[in-house]
Amino acid sequence: MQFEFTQDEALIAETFRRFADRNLRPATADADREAKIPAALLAQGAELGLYADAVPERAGGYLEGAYSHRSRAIRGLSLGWACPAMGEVFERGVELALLLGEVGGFDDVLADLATSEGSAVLVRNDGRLGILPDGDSAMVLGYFPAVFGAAFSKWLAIASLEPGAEGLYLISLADCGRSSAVAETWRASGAERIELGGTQARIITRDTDRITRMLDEAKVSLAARAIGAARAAIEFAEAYAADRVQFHQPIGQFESLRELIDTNRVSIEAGEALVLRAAAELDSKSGPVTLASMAQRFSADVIRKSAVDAVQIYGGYGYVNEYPVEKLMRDATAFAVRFGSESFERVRRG
Amino acid sequence: MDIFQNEMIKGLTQMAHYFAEFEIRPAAPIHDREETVPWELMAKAQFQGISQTRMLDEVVARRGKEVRESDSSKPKIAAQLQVAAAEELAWGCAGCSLALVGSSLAASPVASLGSVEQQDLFLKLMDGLDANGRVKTAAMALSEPGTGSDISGLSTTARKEGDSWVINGSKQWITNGQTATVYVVWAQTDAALGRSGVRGFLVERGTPGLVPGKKEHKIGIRASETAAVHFEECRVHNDMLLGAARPSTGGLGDTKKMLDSTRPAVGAGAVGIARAAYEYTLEFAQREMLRGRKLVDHQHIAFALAEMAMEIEASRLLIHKAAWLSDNKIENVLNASIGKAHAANTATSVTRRCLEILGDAATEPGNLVEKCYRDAKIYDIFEGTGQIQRRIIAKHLFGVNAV
Repeated sequence: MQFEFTQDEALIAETFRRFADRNLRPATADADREAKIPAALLAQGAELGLYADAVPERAGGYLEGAYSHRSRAIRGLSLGWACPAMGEVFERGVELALLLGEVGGFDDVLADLATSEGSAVLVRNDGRLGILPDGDSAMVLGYFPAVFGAAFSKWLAIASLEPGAEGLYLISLADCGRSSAVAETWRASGAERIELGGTQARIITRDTDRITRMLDEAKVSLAARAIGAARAAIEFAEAYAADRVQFHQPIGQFESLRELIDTNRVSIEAGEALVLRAAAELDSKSGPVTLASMAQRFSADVIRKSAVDAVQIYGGYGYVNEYPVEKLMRDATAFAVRFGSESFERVRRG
Repeated sequence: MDIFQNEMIKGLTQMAHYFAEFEIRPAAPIHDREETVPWELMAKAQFQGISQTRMLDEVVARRGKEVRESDSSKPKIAAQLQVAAAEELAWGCAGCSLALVGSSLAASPVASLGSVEQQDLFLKLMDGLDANGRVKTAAMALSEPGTGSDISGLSTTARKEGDSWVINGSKQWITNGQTATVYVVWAQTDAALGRSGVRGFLVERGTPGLVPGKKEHKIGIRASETAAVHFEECRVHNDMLLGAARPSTGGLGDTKKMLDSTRPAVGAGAVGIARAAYEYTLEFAQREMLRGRKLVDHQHIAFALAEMAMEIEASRLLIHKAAWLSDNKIENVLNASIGKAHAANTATSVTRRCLEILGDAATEPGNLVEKCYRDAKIYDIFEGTGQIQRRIIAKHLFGVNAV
């Protein structure tokens, strides 16, 4: 396990930190309020190769040779640090592109995935869908209450590991019932309620190991963004605590608040190390991996605690939307539930 | 404690629960989404004797205190009634419940420090409806931009000019700050006196120099209006100084006592939120299937719910103990802080774990548990943060002023 960044990784870290700091951060509050991401930012993301880098060259992308999940995790740390909702939109579609690139035969979809407006959202069937397979296709019934990134996407990929309905199903979002589901968390991500009334799906694979692997890839990316967001929350809180004076001293000098900040910093560093290790495991193995679920669970705990503690450190100011930690506390929710509930995950693994 | 057998407490609990279930719950999502004040609920609550009326009763009760206290055959259960009702109303919606009872924060100092004339004026100002046909509200204006937890550092001043006081300064996070009919404003009258120079003033809406400020957009309790209030050379008559007849008792020390007295009811609100999230999640777990079994039949879900039930029950008992002590005229500062801090912890941890069990159902617009998660956090911040409660507890238990 290598802890130092390679030269390439250091360049990726620097590029995306700059993009996050200069381009994304200044736009996050407005994007949250207006529940949309400016088109210019999506285009800038595309220029940085965020969609095309997982699509093989033959289908119009930039990928030649092996994909680096470690590099993806490194950029995810910065994207989550800037804005969890934007991070989700920028990172959607990667796992599907990698899988389609492998199985072949879906170059029309891959060409879409190389673009910002054609990308796909990945969701997981947690048992509430009715799926009736019929040869290479299937009929899907049911709904998803809030699919993040759907408003910006063309395709819906459903990963299902439910007995009797195992498979990765691909549906054109144009064939689905869609309505806005923008609520409180990841508001800028264009969440939609998706209704499937016997909608036709293409079956991409029924290989449960490959589907599990795909979910593992998505979890590591999600975990990286969660750790980035947690770091942002604690950085904000630390800066605020250094300035805010109560009882004649900066509140950051009170031991209880120092302890609160330090505990979170330890968790964030541990989380980042776990995420990078999980990403390295993805790079070194082809099947399902063991650290991805751990990284997701741990990082979801870290962002929830960091965001809530950051609000606590801001006190009354943390509870209002003038300061950034209020948004991070709302955004923390989605990290915990993005691929099904924690209970679901435990039962599946157990 | 009377909570288990007193018929009056049981009756009020049922009445408040009925109101919460059939009036507050249906209205809550839209007020949360639109960040609007539930005026219609406030009017209904007043009509049914659940909110403002209780607050005004308090003012009247203090005045008729001698008469009431002579009737020793009746158990003293005012605080226990208050916490029982507060839990139910917050179970309905924390933001709406604060809109219903927010004025009591201002009524309390008028009742304890005000002269008979000031109490009469307060009752007169709060009587009837305002020009928009709405229930009237009152605001307690204490916190300032630079003064959150540390209320001894107030920068709002009141200077004596003839038979008037001239108030200058800005207040922040004021419940009912934009729409109140009457404000109880706390200002420093003599910096040399420090804490004891801080005094309260009654200021009527429309008084020149009283400028309601920006409304805050909050992560939770959105049905409760929170705003800044500015005072620019705001002149009030000497008669508006609270506790003028008792200068030794009208200062900041009494303000802190008032905050102590409201803590059990605030903590009860946190219990109500936790219970709402827990009950919703329990129903979900009893309904949803996973791998051929109901969610609740999986041991780790059942244990998580059992853990939540334990925490909720413990918080409720701590709060009722603080209320019982208050009703029996036994000092309850320590117990009020223990109860409030514990309940705030319970509310934040229970709502978080409920979100985890719900999964993506929790991200649906208008989901009750997601709202509870946002509402819960304020209970660890307002009316004394979790850190302030721990300072109070440490000071009372082992006499240290830990920094």
